[in-house]
Amino acid sequence: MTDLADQILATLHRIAPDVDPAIVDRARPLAEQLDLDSIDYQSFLAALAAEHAVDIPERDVAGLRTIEDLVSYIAPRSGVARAASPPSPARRA
Amino acid sequence: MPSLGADMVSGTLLEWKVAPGDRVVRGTVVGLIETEKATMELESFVDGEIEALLVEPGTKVPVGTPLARVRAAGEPAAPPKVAEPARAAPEPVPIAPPAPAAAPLVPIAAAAAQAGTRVRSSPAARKRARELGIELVALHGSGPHGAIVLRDVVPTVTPVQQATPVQPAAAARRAAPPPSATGPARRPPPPSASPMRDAIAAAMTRSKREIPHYYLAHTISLKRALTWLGEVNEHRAIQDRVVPAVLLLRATALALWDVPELNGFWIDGAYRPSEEVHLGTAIALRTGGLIAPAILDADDKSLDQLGIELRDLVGRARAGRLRSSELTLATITVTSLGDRGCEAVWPVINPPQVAIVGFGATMERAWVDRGAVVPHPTVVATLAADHRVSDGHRGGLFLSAVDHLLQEPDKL
Repeated sequence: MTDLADQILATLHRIAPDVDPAIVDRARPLAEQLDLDSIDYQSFLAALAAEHAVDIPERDVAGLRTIEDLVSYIAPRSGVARAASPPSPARRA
Repeated sequence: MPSLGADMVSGTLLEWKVAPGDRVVRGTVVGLIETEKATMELESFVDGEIEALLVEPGTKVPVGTPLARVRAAGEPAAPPKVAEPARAAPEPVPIAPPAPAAAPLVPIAAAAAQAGTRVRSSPAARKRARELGIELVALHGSGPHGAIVLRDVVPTVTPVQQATPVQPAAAARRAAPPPSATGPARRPPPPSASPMRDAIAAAMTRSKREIPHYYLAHTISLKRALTWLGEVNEHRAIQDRVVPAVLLLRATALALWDVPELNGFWIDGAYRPSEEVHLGTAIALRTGGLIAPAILDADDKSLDQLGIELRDLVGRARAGRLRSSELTLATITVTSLGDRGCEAVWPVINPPQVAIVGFGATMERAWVDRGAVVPHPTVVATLAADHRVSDGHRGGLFLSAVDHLLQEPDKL
C-alpha cells in the first residue's frame, strides 16, 4: 500500500509525465523545482482534489507548494489518506 | 507524412489506430507520429475508407512519404498496387495539379491522403514545385484553407529528391544558410544531439532572415483583472477556476478584432488575412524546446472554454498527444513567460504568421492610480509584428486594445 505522498507523486507524474517522481524533493516547492507552469499546477491540484475528495479553496492554494504541504493538507481532509508522512528529504522511495 | 511545421523534415510513424476497411472522416485520429518536436496524433485529412496502410509502425520517413491510402467516399476501389507513381496509377480521387513528368514521385497514397479536397495551390508554388521536382500533393499547405503556397515548397525531402535534377538557382534560393556550394542535392542533416533544437533553429533562422520584425511594449495594470478573477474563482471548484494566463489569451483574441491585420499569413509575397483566430500558445517543454499548438477559433470561446482548452492542450503537449491540425493552423502566437519568468519577452515571429504577442511575468510595480503611487500587479505585453503587413501605429493600437480589455475583465 502506497502512502499518501506516493499517491500524490503518482498524480503529479500523470499530469507531468516528463517528471520523474523519484527525484522530487518533498520539502521544496514543486513549481520551481520541476518547472511546472500555472496550468500544470492547476491541473495537478484539480486532480488531487478529485482523487482525494477534498475541496481546495482558492485562498489555500498559495500555501500548497511542496509534497509535504499537500500531504499535511490532504491527510486530515480525506477519508482515503493515511497518516501524513513525516518531513523528509528527497528519495524516500 | 504531413509537414507539421515549416521546419519538419521527417517523422516516425509510431502506431496505427485504424485498419484497412475502417471508415474515417476528416479529423479522425488514424495514428501516432513522432517528429523532432513532439509525438502527436495524426488526423485524416479526408472522409473515406482506409484502403491500405503503407508504413509499418516504428518507421521514420521523410515528409511527403505516403502513410496510407484512403478511398474517398463515393470513389471506386483503387487498384491493388499502392506505390505506383501518381501519373501511372488510375487515380482514386481527383489530384491537382498533375505531377510534373520528371518528378520522382511521391507515390499515390500521398495524393489519396488529400483526397476529396482538391489540392489548392498558388501559381508560384506550382512553378517552384516543378523546378524542384516536388509533388504538391505531398506537401502540407500552410495557406488559407490548407492551400499550398510558395513557402511550403521547400526542398527538404531528401530521399525522393536526391535523384532529381534540380535547377541550382532555384534550390540555392531556398537552401538553408550557409548556401551550399555543392548544389541543390540536399543530404540528410548530420545527426544532432537535439532534433528539437534543430527544428527551432531552422524556423527561427528563417523568420529572422525573411521577416522585418518591429517591436512594441506596453505595461498593463492587472489589478482590476486579478481582483475580478479572485472574486470569480473564490466560489468555484478548483477545476473550474480560471488562471490569469487565460485572461491574457482572451484579451489577445478579442483585440485582434480591432487590428485584424496582425492575424494571418505572409505567403508568396502577399499578406493573407485570416477570418478565424487560431491562437497558437507557446508551451515550454521541460524536455527542452517549445511547441505552439493552436486553440482554434479562440475569439469565439468564453473564458471558461478557453481555460478548459488550454489545460487540455498543455496536458496533451506534455503527454505527446497533440493533434496534427493544432500544429498547423495557428494564425498568430502568444508566448507567456509565466509567474517565474522575467519581465518581458521579445518574441520571434513563427512564419508564415505575421505577429506574435508576448507577456512577461506578472510583477508588482509602483503604479500611479488616481494621483497616488500604489503597488499594482502588472504585466509587460509585447508585440513583434511583420513590417510588410503592419506598422507600429497599428501595433500600438493592438496593445492598447489588450490593455483596455483587461481593464474591464467582467466583459471578457
